[in-house]
Amino acid sequence: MQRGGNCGHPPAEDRILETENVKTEEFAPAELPVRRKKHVSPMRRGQTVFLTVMLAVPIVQWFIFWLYVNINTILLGFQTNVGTWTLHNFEMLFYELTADDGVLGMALGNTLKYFFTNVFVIMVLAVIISYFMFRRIAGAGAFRIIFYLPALISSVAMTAVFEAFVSPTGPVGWILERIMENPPELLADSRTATPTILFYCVWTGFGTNILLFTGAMNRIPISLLESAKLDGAGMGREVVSIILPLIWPTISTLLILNCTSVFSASGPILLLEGGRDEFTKTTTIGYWIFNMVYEYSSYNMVSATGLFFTCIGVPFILLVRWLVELIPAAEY
Amino acid sequence: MKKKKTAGGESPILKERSQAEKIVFFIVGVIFTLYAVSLIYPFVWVFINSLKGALEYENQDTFGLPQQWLFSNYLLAFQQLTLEDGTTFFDMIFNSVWYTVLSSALSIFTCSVTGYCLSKYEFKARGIIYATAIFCMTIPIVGSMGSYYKLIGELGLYDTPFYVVATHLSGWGFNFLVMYGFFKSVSWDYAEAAFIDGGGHFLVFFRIMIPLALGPVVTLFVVAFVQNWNDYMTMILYLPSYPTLASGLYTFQANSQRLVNWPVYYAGLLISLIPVLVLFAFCSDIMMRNMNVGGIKA
Repeated sequence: MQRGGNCGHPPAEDRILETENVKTEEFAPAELPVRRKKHVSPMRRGQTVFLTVMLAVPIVQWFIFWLYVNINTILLGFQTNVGTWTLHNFEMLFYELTADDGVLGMALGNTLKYFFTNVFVIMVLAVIISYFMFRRIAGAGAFRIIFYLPALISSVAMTAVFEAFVSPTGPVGWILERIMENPPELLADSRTATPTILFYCVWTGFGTNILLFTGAMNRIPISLLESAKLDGAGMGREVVSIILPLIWPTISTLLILNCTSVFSASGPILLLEGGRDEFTKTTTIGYWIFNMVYEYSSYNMVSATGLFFTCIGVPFILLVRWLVELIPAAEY
Repeated sequence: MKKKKTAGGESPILKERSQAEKIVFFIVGVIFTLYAVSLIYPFVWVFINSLKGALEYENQDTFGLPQQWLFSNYLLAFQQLTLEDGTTFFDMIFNSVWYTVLSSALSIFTCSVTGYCLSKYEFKARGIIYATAIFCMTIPIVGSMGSYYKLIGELGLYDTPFYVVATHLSGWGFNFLVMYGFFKSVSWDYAEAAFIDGGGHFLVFFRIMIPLALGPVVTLFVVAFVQNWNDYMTMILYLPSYPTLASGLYTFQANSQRLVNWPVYYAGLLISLIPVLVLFAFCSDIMMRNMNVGGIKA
């Protein structure tokens, strides 16, 4: 049955109908069943038209751009580029994953490096920074805006500035030249490229995390912190016993979001390494997929790889969610 | 209802710090200052270098100030930052504006529609639609880009503005959840009053509910604006003939690595930042206040 309004109040038109029904039943003999005419009011017809008009486009869009695309991904994974059925894509995938010089093996290794950096460096540092912002360290207002800038400024500009800064003609290159003989070109040398990009990710990675963590901390009732302080709790105790349990829902959600995008996030590899000879050594699964589609129009291999990592990703996410839910969220 | 007192440093009790805490706060303050400088200085360095001559940039002291402050580089950016296909800097600005406004407006409007319909109306398919929307958000699908790219080509949307329209009408995802949560909290009494006065469902949505939702709609629009203005992947993959400032400047640099007049390129980069910085200056308060986990709170 369609009914407008779910805030505990049925809409006016429904209330009118209910009143009419009650009246009909009051005057009908008790033993005789009351036969109600199936009547669709113009208001309800209007509601059906409204819902149909408003929801048709998003639903059709979902069928085409989500359902069809994902079903087709499964089919493409088992097909050659001319449409015949094959398992060759998966053979290639396992070869690329296990061979010493396999690009996918390297991509997986790099992907995990980015993931662990995100979770164990960026998120941890973001919680620490947020705590001091929350405790109103001198200049907290200005720091909050400055630290958010990397999330606001386009990656193209950020990476261009970073690249210029670490290039041999930039300040970092200038300093390296004076302290080392034959200093490496940080982004062009395979030994230093990935650590340099990881540094870039940490350097620019706090903005949104800080905003979300300070938002969560600001919702903690001040009386809790005041009582703890009056009871003699120090900073460490305050963080471990009050702040972390109370912002745990935010931490766990961000953790799950990080895990959800572990294989699909391409990071700044294209902007920092695209076109360089060393890019295969710095590639990630997400960037490799982009590159295969963009440069080689290789849909089948990409789909097979996607299927494989989705099959790994789903139980991984379920495991993380289960682990996260083992820690109960504190209520306040 | 009395508002709960929150926020760490406002309380006089919490402002009192022991000697050890003062030392920790001082050290952290120094580290914060260094980090803030590390974020700002590269842009100052780029600004200073955007005012140098091309030869001066290549040959002179990296940290030095310009011999001549060439503000004309900012005018030259409009003339020299032209792509190989003839796209000018003005074209990139135009593409950035229409792409950003159209994609942000469409996605926020569609999410408002889906959020409103699913939160305020009960109908047979409501449960399954809501569950599907949540399910799609939580499973980590990898590698559908190949199939998606193929479909865009088959539908004839590749490299046409219709691509922007068709792909931003989805109405699901985090923005949907935000709007769903907001409309759930709005009283249905406004709609009932309009129905009694003879208003229809469309009138209620467009004339009553959308104006009521202006706060979250504006916040979501600002966030979407920043994301879309900075988006370069979409243009590179699906709209190569419509380079925006983000994708155009990347392409310009990537295609002419050794021949770039860097000071002019830096001038172009800094120009491309102006719209989001201005928007942020006006809307930072809304963004900072309304950001919550999962994107934005209503």
